[in-house]
Amino acid sequence: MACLGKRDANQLEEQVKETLNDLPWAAKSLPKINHFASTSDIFEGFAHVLDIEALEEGDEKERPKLQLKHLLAIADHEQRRILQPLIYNDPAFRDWLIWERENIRESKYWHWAAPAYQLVFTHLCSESNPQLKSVAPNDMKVEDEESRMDWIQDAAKMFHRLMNTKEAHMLNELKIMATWVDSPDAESVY
Amino acid sequence: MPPSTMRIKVGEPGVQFLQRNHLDSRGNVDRQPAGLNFHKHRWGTTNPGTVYVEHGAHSFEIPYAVSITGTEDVEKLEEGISDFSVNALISLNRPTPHDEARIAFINLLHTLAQAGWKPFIYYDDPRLSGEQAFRYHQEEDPRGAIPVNYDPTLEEWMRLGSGPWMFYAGDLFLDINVRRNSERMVVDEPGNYLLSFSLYGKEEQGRSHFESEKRDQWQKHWIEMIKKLKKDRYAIEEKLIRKGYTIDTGYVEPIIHPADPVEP
Repeated sequence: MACLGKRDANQLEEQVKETLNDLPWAAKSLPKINHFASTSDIFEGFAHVLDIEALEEGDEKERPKLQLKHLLAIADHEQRRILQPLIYNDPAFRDWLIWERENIRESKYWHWAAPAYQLVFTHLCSESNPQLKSVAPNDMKVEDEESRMDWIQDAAKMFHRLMNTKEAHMLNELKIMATWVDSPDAESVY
Repeated sequence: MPPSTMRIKVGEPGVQFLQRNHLDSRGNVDRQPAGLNFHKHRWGTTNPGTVYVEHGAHSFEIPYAVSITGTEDVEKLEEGISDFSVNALISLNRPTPHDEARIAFINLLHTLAQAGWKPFIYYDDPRLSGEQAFRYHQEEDPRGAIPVNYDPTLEEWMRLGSGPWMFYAGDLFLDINVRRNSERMVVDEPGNYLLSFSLYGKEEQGRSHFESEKRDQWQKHWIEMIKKLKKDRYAIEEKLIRKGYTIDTGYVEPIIHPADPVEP
């Protein structure tokens, strides 16, 4: 925790910093996300990790509650402090979201053409059974803060329930997803 | 066209929830491969709806509802929807001034108390009420549950975490969390608020005290667990009495297990 407040891409070891700055997105993106500086959401998220680590045997009931709080704090950080300045605030992306919602996703004739926001907790890349799909609603407005909070709260709680009640299945899925880092197309991402 | 008011009842079969609220099973059920069916409806933030929570004399309304999610386990279909989550705006006035949000939330706490919802206190937390409970929360357990029978001042409201505020009425439990945008926490400027309600029955409450395979056998392990937790509660209470706190010995706990109330 002591080093959390010191997090800063400009203070990295020279060699690491050079490698980071060589990445094609570095110059444009790092200033927008304050060079990876910690945020109040990150502090809150990690405070919950400390709480989880401090749990004693027999404190099982506390763990899932702290895990959900941790998940939501980190999700807030990723969405508000990283995705918001990097993507949602981009005028072109914002216009596209509004256009897409108004012109495609609300039209029953053109609906097939819209890349629906989809959330499926499985390692399979494309879920073919339409009944198994979790498709974000037409009116999910990622640029509207309360709407975004509703979406992330709902997704986090779904994941939390799945992890608590279907632990073995979910851990198996996550283990498979963890191997994606070695897949052939991972190079273009990492 | 889905109605603007929907009725929910914990334990009702998913099919019944859909039918009586005129929802289509194709568009409103998210069947996750892991084995949970999430029954959903989303009004959105522009035209929020109302959720009527059916629970006999303790029924109440959640205004400005943005979304509902009811969870059904395909291996326990006989239990019906074991828990409902409702996300709601705190006001139609968005972004919302912090004091307006605080007053709306206090009104909600009072409405629930009037409908007979009682405070639920974790078995290893001390039995405290009102101002005493709030003092303990601030001084000893700031990331723990927040007392439901204390009205925070604006200054206290700004410092509070997200909750939960926890109630029970008969065999139903209600947790409320208040989500805020941490970047909009200046007292005299408006903020972003989302209320998150969780409603669940005693089975779910019992299970939540255990992990992994013990969850489904919670009844078997309940007495041993509660004995241990209450020993911790009484030890904390003794320390608090020495610090000048008054224990709320009139606190009535819910009946979850046939052996309740379990004592060490």
